[in-house]
Amino acid sequence: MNRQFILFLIMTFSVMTLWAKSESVLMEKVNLPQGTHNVTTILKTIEKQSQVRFAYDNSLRVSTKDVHLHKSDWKVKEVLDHTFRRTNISYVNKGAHVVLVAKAEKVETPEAVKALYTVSGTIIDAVTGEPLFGAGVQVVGKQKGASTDFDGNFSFRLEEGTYELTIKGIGYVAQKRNITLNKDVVLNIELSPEVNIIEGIEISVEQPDKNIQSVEMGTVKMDIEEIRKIPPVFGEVDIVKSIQTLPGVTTVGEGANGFNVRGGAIDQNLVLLDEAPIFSSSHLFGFFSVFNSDAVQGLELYKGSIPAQYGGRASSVLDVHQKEGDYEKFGLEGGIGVVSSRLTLQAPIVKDKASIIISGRRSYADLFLRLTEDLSDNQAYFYDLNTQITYKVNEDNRLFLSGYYGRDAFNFGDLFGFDWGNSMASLRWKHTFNDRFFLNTSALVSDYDYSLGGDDFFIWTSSIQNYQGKLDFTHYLGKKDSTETYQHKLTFGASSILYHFYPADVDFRVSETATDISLPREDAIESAIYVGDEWKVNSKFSMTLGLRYSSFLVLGGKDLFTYQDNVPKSVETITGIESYDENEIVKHYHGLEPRIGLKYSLDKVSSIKAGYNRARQYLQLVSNSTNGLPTDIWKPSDNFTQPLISDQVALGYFRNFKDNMYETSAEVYYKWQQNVLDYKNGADLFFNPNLEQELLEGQARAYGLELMVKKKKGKLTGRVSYTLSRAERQVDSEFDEERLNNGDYYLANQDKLHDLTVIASYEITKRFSLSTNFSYATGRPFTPPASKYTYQGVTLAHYELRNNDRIPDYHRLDLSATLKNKKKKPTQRWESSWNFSIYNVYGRRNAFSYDFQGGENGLVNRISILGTVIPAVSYNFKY
Amino acid sequence: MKKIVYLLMVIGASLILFSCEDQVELDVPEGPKRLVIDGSITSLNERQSVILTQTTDFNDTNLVYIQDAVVKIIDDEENEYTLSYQGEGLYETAESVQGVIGKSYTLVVQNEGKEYRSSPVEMQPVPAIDSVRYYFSEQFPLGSFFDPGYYTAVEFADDASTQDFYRWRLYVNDSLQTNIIIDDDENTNGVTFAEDDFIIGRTLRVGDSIQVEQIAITRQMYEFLDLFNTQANNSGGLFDTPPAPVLGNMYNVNDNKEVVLGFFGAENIQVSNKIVIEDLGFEIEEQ
Repeated sequence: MNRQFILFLIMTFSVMTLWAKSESVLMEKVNLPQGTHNVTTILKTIEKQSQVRFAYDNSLRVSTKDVHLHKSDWKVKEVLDHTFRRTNISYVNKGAHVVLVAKAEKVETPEAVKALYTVSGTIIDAVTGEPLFGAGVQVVGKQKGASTDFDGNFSFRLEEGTYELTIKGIGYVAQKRNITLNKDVVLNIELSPEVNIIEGIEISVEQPDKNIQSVEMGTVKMDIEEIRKIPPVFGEVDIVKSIQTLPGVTTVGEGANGFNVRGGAIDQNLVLLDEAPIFSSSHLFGFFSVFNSDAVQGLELYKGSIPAQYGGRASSVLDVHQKEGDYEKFGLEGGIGVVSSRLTLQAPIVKDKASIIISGRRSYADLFLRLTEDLSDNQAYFYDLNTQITYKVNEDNRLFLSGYYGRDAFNFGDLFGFDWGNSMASLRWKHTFNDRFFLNTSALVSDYDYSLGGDDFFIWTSSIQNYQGKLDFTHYLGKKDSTETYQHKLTFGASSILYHFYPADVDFRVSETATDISLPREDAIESAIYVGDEWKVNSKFSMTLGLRYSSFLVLGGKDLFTYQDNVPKSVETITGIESYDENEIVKHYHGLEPRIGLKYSLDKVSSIKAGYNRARQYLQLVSNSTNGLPTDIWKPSDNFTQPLISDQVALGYFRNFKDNMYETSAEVYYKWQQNVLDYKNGADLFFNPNLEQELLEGQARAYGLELMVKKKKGKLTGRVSYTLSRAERQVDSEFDEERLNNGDYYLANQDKLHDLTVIASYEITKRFSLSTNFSYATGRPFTPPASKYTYQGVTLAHYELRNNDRIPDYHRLDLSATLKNKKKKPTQRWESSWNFSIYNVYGRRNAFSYDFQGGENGLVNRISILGTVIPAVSYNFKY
Repeated sequence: MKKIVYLLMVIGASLILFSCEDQVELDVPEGPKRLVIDGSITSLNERQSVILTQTTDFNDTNLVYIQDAVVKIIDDEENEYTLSYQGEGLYETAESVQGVIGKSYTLVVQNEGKEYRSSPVEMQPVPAIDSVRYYFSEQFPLGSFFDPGYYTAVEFADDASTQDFYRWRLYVNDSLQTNIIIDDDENTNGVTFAEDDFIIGRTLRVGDSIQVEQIAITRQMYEFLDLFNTQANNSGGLFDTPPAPVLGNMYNVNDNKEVVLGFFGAENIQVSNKIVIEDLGFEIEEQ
């Protein structure tokens, strides 16, 4: 084995600590009206006002019980103790979850002569092997029994004899056991989850019919567990690839940078990691995303109704949250795959007060996948590091410090290197004024940069730095309705970002070239204020109203050419140079961005929704490559290019079936955009100090229908999504050189007429599950040659119209199997699993592009990325 | 700067790691036939010529020549030089004509009842060639992507007072290399420098004769050739620019939307001496 590889494995394993997750929510404050209430009402109110989530079995008959409250200010623990003090109900708390259980009988002091023996043991989840807390063991016909503690242990004493025991857990199939007690008995019990009950206690975290009841549409929330069910490429669980399986989200091709939402370009997605913007979401030119799946808690993707608090990008917001560290125990999690290895550590810094999580990942493809035989000193790798420190100052104040550093590097021996990456740090303070009024304050720094060159040659660096401050308030107002929802959820806030753009800083290491071709820094300030209201008008009708005002100040510091009016900008049409002082305002763009959403419930299981959305985008990515490069240029709006303005209307129908087991939705949208940047045919973008001479402004439109069926519960889960859509652009002008495709609408690179994705996951046994992914999409538009000709002895293909044909349809099937290792002891904390995956099972050579210059005998070169069967294996562990 | 772009393409090629190529048949829609102009007026006192062809279907291997066109070059003093058909698409002036620095020339082509014209092209001044050198390099110039061998460079002094655009033609053993080698003085204005961007598919060997033409061209022609090169080197890979039409300076007088391909240029040419590469004592492994 390669020496470096061994070294890396040693590094990986030499750092180990522990893992778990929990925090006490029982100390949260709640406000309950004085008087006599049904216990169910009290529980619901607590859930509304705190993070506490209850779970209980109907056999406890909670709804038949009333309790009198003599005051209104309580801590959760106090009110629970008070409520259940004279009942047969007790409760167990873990994390945010409180499980109500039948009270264990006190063991009476034996007066009888009969000997007493101890019945003890552990109850675990038969699928995950996790200990079950709050499960109960009951002796049939006797008032005896016990419920399990955090570690799934129980114990009680019983007289000698033969008994029948019932073992129950909420959401699990009950079991019966017969025991003969003539000595102490230890029972290890595995309970199987009930098939028709949603796994675990996720149910209580979010309403199962939230998709119908909430106003938001075109919004997807995924937690990391759901993402893990999608068969991975090269064994790598990938956030960006997972969202590409959603309706309305596409990619230009395998290995393409970023993703496209509802016909938008890749630069129209605001990608946030713990609120800090990430400018390039890809590693290795787009094969993997920058998010380490072990460090991610979950994500939200807003395709349609973007809340007023977000802005700056036209098409979508991808909000990725990092995990919080454990407040109680050390924890360790990691994995080894064919492409990369991961390791995550969590630990309390101050128990129950402060915690830290650190997660690292590094690829090692270069260590055994040599670029070529004789270039063994070449390297190609990526790595990233995520961390979050959380500190609960007190009940009302929490601090979060997050960091990310990721990098890609290509080194061709000592001669030449190319590396790029994102880094960010964010400090957030969450403050509770009272139970209805909250503040989230953030200070963020993020940076994207790349460096290219070698010591014998030149070193070219480029970066975007941004510093951001943000205030977000949430205030619940108005009366509460029967479901304990406030009539108004008012959000308002402000944000400001200072950008420094360093387009190119070139340091020549050879003397032959005299002129400095570095480009000057560009500065800008983007600010916004917003207000939004989620208004529940009545039980059927609700709406969100949002208004955002954004402003973009282009700051001076560099000289700009002035051009003749109303003619194409070129060297020939320059009229002069205008100088601006540093921090002088060169240009001010600003405007309103209204956001409206409406929801009307047709009945308990269905609703219709509509929305309108406007967004202004002040930075656009200038790229003339098909699939995006790390060196693509983020161009702020300036004297010559205006901000992109995007409007979208959408309409949707949502319906759930079989007690929310199936979710279905149908959405249509129409989006139109102004001032979309395009480039002249054959534009020269590198080191161009006068990009305005190469750029064109046009408009874009996109429209489509998105259908989805999702099965959320049971052994078989998954979804089928289908999108019928169109994305087009138009660049028209009275001048030939400023007109593309005769000024007509033409298909955008990301246009896909049909896009079908089927994802299914099937749990064969408790330890073994299979999942599959099938994708079919219309081939992306491309430009085939219209003819060919010879000039100066060189034969060249001639292209007439951009994107006037399509590559053949794309389809692919992936399979993946996960085998969880058996636990030696039920209480064992060490968990591990193997994942075997096959990407592109039938090895279809999906075309990425065609090379018309390179073909012979009437054939053309077809270039396929990942055009073969790719098996992979990964090993994951958790302690 | 071109080197940087070139390097990016090399990195793109390294992504072959993940990609594969094969040859397939692909039906593409057939486009309209277009007129192609290939020619320049030069500073050499010779019969000036242009070649007129027509685009062909992408899978067609034959060239289609324009045989019955009326072709003229008109200078800015209204002097007309008629070019007559010589076969294989070639039209030539009857007498020798020499392009003069500072004068502008326009090509006029009448074909199938339509008249095409070039934008006027002005003859640019060209600096003398100081020397044509050859040298041995282990890895030229961008690292180990190229073989060890002999390379050539042209040394000359750029004029600091003008913005200049250059093209070079390289003859190896009297055979013209089809690579279009161009550069501008954007980064080297007024500098005496050695143009070494002669990447011709193989390294030079001992005994090879080399001769270089150094040509001053207009900005417009430089931009055209640059775009032509970009498209000619496009291989559909990850880093390549999307295909684009390469439009020159010819247009239909009555319909400026008609696409006309190729370029009519003005070339001020300096021809170097022919030199033969002598053995500098380096060992080269034969491939």
